[in-house]
Amino acid sequence: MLVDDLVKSPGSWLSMARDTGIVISSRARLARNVRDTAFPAWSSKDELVRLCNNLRGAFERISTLANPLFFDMGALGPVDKDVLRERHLISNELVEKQAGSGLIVAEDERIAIMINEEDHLRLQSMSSGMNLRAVWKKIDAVDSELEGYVNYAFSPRFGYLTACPSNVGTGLRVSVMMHLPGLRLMNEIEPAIRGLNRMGIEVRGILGEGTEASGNMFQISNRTTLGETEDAIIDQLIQLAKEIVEHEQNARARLMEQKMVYVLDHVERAFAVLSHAHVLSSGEAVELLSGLRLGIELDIVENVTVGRINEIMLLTQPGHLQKIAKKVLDPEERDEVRAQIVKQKLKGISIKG
Amino acid sequence: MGGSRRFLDSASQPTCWGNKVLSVDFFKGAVHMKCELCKKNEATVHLKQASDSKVKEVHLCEECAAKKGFNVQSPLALTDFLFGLEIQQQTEPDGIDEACPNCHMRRSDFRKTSRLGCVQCYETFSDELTPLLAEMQKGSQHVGKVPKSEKIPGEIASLRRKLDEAVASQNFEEAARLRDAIRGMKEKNVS
Repeated sequence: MLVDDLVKSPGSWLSMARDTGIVISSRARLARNVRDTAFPAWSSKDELVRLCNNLRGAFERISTLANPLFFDMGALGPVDKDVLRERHLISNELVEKQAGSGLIVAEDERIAIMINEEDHLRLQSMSSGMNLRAVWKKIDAVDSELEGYVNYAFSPRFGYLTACPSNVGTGLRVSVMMHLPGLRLMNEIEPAIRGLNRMGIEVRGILGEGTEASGNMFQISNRTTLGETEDAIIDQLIQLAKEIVEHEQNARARLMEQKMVYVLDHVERAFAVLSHAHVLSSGEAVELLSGLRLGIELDIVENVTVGRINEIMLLTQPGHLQKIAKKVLDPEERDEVRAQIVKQKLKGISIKG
Repeated sequence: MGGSRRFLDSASQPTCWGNKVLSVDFFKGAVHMKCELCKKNEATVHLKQASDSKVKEVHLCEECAAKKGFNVQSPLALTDFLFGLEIQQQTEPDGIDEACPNCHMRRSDFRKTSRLGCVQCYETFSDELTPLLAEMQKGSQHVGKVPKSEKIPGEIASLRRKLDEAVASQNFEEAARLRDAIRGMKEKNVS
C-alpha cells in the first residue's frame, strides 16, 4: 500500500465518534530500545538496517497488530514523508532519516511505530477525542507481546533505557490535543500554560516539538517519565485535561456573555474568507478554520461538522495538497489549491438564521 | 467559580512545591546583566526555574538563547530547553573525559547532545545521571511496568534493598526472612 492509498481515507481515528470538540485526539507513546545495538544516533548505518529488518520481522508475527504496513524511510520521497508527518504517523526527526529507519502502520493508522528515530522503537497509539485509557491499553498490549520477540534494554533501577534521559523509566508520553480558542480570546492562555508547567505538564503547539500554537491547538503531555507508574501518569493527565476543558467551556460562556459581538465577528469573518478566498496560506487557513470550528461548537454556523473541519485541516497541509493535485506545487500554487479545496468542502455551510 | 480554578492562580503562588515539580517562568525584564554564555551581549532572556530544592536563574542574550535552541517567540517548550542546558552546563570534572567502554561515547559528547550512546552508558555515566534524573524526573527509581523476563531480577533487587534497610535498622529477624525470600527467588529464576 503506497502513501497514495493512505491519502484517500482521512484516517478513521479522525472520525467524529468521540470528538467533543475541545479535545481533538488522544495519544500514548512508548519509547523502547533493544539491548545489543547502540542507540540510533550512535549506531552505524549497517547496524540500523539490520535492526530495522529484524524488528519488521517481529512485527509481522505479532497478533495484536492487524495488517501491519511497513514504510522504508530510504524509499520515500519528501512529499510522501510530509503526508505521513501531517497524519501524525512520523515525527520531524524521522522525516530526516533514510534507509535503516522505518515506520509500521496498523489498525487504520491508530497504531504507528517508528523504527530507529531517537530510540530504536517509538510505539504510538492514537484515537479521536478524550480516550487516554484505551490508547494506553492498546499500546501496552502491543508492547507486552513484542517483549516476547525482542530483548528490551531495561534496568530495574532506571526502567526502560532510552537515548535521552528525559524519556527513561516508563518511556511513556501521553498527550491530548485540545482546541482552546475561548482561553485564547479571553487572554487567559498564558497563565493556563504556566499553571500546567508547574504541575509537570508540557504544552506544545500543533506542529509538535516547541513550535507556535497556531489555530489555538495545543498539545498537553506529561513531562516526567520516571518515578511514577504508568497509571499515575495517565490519571494525572486525564484529570488536568478535564480541568482545562472546564476552563475552556467557562471562558467560552463568558465570551458569549460579555463579548458576543466580537465572537460573531470572529466566526463570521472566518466563514466569509474561507467561503470566498481564492488564495489561502496555510497559516491563515489554520487560524480561520479554528474560528469556524468555534462557530460550529457555539452553534453560530450550520451544515458543517467538526469532523469535516478535521478533514479539511488535514487535506490542506502541503504534503496532502500535493498528493491531491498529483504533482509538486510551489507555495503560491499550494495557496490556490488550498482555497479551492476549502471552498469545495464547505459547500452548503451557512450562518444560523 | 473560584474552587475549580486552582492551577490558574497567579504568579504570586509560591513556585516551590512539596514534590519535585519543576516550575519554569520566562520573562523579559529590565534587569541589566550580561549574557551568561557569551558574556558580551546584554541578557534579555531571563529564565527562572524552581524545583523543591532550589531556584535557579539563567540569563542569556537572544543570540545565545537562539543558538541553544530556544525560540523566544514561543515559550512553550521551555522545560526541554532547560533540561538540555542543564546537561551542557555541568562543570568539567578534573579534565578526564571518560568514555563508555561499549560504544566509546565520551562524557563531553553526552553533554553536547544531551543523549546517551548505548545501554552501557547508563552505568558509565551514572554519577552524572543520578542528580540529573533526581532533578528533572519525579524520582530516580523506576516503579512502572517491568518486562516479563525482568520481573524476577526486579523483585530480587527490590528485596535486596529491603534487606539492606532491615540490616541497617538492626531488624535481623526481618533480614533473615528477606534473605530466604531472595534465595527462593533466585532458585525460581534459574528454573
